[in-house]
Amino acid sequence: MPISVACLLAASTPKAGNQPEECEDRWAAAADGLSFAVADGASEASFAGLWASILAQRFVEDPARALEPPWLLAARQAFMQQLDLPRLPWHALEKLRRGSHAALAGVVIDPAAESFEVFAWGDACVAWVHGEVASCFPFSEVADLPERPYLISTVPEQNEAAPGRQGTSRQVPLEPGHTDVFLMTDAVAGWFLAEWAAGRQPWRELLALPDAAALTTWAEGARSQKALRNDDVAVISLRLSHGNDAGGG
Amino acid sequence: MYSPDVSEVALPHFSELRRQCVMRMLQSPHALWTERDHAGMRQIASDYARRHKRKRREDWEFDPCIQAITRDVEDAVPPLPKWACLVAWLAPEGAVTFNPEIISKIALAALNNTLGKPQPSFGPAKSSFQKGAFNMPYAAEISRRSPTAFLFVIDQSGSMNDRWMETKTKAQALSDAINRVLMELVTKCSKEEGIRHYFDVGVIGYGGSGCRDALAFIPGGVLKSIQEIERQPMRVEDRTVKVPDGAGGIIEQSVKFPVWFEPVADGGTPMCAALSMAGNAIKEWADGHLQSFPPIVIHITDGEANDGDPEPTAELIKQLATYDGNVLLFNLHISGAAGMKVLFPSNEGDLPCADARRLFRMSSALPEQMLRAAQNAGYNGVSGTRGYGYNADFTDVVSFLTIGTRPANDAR
Repeated sequence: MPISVACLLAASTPKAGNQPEECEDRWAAAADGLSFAVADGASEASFAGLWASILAQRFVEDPARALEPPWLLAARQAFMQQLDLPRLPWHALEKLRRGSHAALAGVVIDPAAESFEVFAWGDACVAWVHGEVASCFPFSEVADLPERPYLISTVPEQNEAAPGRQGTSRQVPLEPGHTDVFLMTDAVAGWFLAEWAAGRQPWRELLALPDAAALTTWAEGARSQKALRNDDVAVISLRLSHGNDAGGG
Repeated sequence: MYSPDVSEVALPHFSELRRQCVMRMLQSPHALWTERDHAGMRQIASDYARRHKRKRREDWEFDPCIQAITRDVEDAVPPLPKWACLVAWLAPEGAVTFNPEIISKIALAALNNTLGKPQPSFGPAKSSFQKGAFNMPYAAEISRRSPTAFLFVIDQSGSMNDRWMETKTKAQALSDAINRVLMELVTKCSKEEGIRHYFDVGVIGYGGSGCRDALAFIPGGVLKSIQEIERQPMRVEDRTVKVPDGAGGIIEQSVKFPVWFEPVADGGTPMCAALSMAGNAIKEWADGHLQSFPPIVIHITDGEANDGDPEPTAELIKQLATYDGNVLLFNLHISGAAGMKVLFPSNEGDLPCADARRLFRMSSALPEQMLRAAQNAGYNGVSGTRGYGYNADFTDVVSFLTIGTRPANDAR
């Protein structure tokens, strides 16, 4: 059966008080419209936005080998190549020595297999809703979101100590009809899981956001109600249609 | 001695009902107003009404002071500290105001003077503090909009010339520690565009020439922005740093490192005067940053004061506060005596001498979030753990303050 993919929203917005260029949550979409990623640069580090951007972009360019050691090596080298070390002051070098860190969540749609694969490393999440049934990966309850997530580091040794806590993936078969998929960095994921646990349907709010400006307005409102933690936000909303109404693959 | 301004304190005239409510508040263990406090107040009002054969809760419902408190305490964002509520209770009827700055000034003065020695219940929140509608103390976000402050108070008396750990004098060890901790603070504020103003930082030295701003070569008051501190070291040294190249290798990069502080050791130990100077600087800062994470005072000494007992002044510093909690006073004790290094003890009896035990008592308990960070860093922190170190490095204390997300696999 034919499968179509509509990207309804792909946007990020900074935490309250920060400028748009200071947002360290990034997103990327592949040119073929079948791979998507959000990445969340940890604000304690320097160059976290750059690192998040490299991870998201390289994920959608080469999702088949994503998160494997050679892929990580190439991403780290690309990061270092972007920096002008001789011009950096002592404190920037010290921060580099300690590493930059980011969480990553990705989705790869496989029309031939009539399925999609979700990837996650750290506390970024992917949720999908078919009918009124929602699922979220890798965390399904807000209490499961870690206070100190295990993230992708620019320093290889920092990811070698606990190989069991590295990225995970899951294959999800597409059911006939619409499946809405949401890639979310941790603040939105926390809001989504809390709303869902309270019996509400948070996906309806996300589906109503048409663009980055709407995401910013929504985030400001949710923060003022204390429903959304004050943090950078990146969201991608997708509608996957499977069946005769999909309008082609 | 540090002394709050008492000119704004009005003598309280309050009813029996309010007196009972104030006593209830003093007995409660939490720093902030909780739902349980609210229920307790309602119970007191009901009992009072019953005793006076009035309609149930009549006084509660119609006392304008109580109405204002009910409304404003519930609506306040962030929630008001209990001492701010207390001042409202103490204010003459009809004169209730919830201007936060006025309340904080009156409350601090009231606590330190009108009420005599403050009750222990105004200290940091216990672990049983209720989550939910009310925020945890020591939870304020540290940001450019809401920076916090560090004030180092350091002993430069003649006794600091004694040898320490065989390789250097106490004064040399101390100046190394201050330079290291200033570097850590600057590094925490380092982002790709430069230094962000997350902290104001000061250093007060005390010794033969009295008490002085040890960073006086940087213009401004005792507390200076971290950006100015980064920009104006006393001198710079050439060093080489090793940076990972991302592929498992190392890049060596020569870089200029700052030095802000040189060893000094001379004369007596006016510790009480130095703590008073710190209290005045911190009070002025806290008054202007009521929404901020409370300032942290780190006092480093070999423990031998010669201008009196420093404990009362330390208590006054610990009772200063922002809306987010009381000022934190930590003490680092540099001793030439033999003994194990100790950091973050929870029991006074484990310490080797009277000076150590006094400095332990002068130290604040670690707030819960700093205690968790200490545990994550491998320290055996338990409830009641104090911000006290014996021959230990205090750089870790600074790293326990989180700005944004801290990964589990961070290098520190």
